[in-house]
Amino acid sequence: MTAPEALVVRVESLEADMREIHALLETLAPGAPDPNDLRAFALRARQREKKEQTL
Amino acid sequence: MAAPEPRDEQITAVIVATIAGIVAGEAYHYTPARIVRADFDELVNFDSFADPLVVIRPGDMQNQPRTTRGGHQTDLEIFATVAKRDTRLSPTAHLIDATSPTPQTVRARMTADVRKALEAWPGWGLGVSSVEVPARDSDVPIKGWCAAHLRILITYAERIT
Repeated sequence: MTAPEALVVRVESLEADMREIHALLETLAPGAPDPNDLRAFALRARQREKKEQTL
Repeated sequence: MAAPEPRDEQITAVIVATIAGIVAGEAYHYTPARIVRADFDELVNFDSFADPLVVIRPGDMQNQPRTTRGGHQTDLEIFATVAKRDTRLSPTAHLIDATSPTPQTVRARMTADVRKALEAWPGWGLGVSSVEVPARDSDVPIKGWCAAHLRILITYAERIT
């Protein structure tokens, strides 16, 4: 397996993990947004802000 | 006499009160039915609340170095999740009926309401010099809801004695 192929397999595996986590959360806490979504949003926004300050 | 709440707590309380003051009409689209405060990672079951719902969560707080006058400037980050039940009869209702708003429209309206209320509110005080809502995340999958995360940035000056 080449490095890019291995990366694709890894990404697919991570996506499957995320789907499992979402399904689990839906079972444990139906109607609740996944806190990881907010965390990812916060990180993206902070990074964008840092980049703008650097420019 | 009890000690006053820390400034970031006072500001958060003002934000909650300001959003609670939104009333649908000529200026705003939706009247929030419920505003709740939660921790950043706390699981909040939206289905157990009336809508439109606003969930306020804490973000980071960063203090700038002290000035020669002994005060300092603080950047406070607060997150708000605005959400409204998706009451369309079908997921494609907006394609059939032009008057049925799309989820994107509902999210945009809720965001505009919160932004307008916070940015235009004239009574800031508390050393606040700016209030911005610089980012929205519309990708918030909650079954049966239209929701968006908003990032609110508040800059304020405080003199620590």
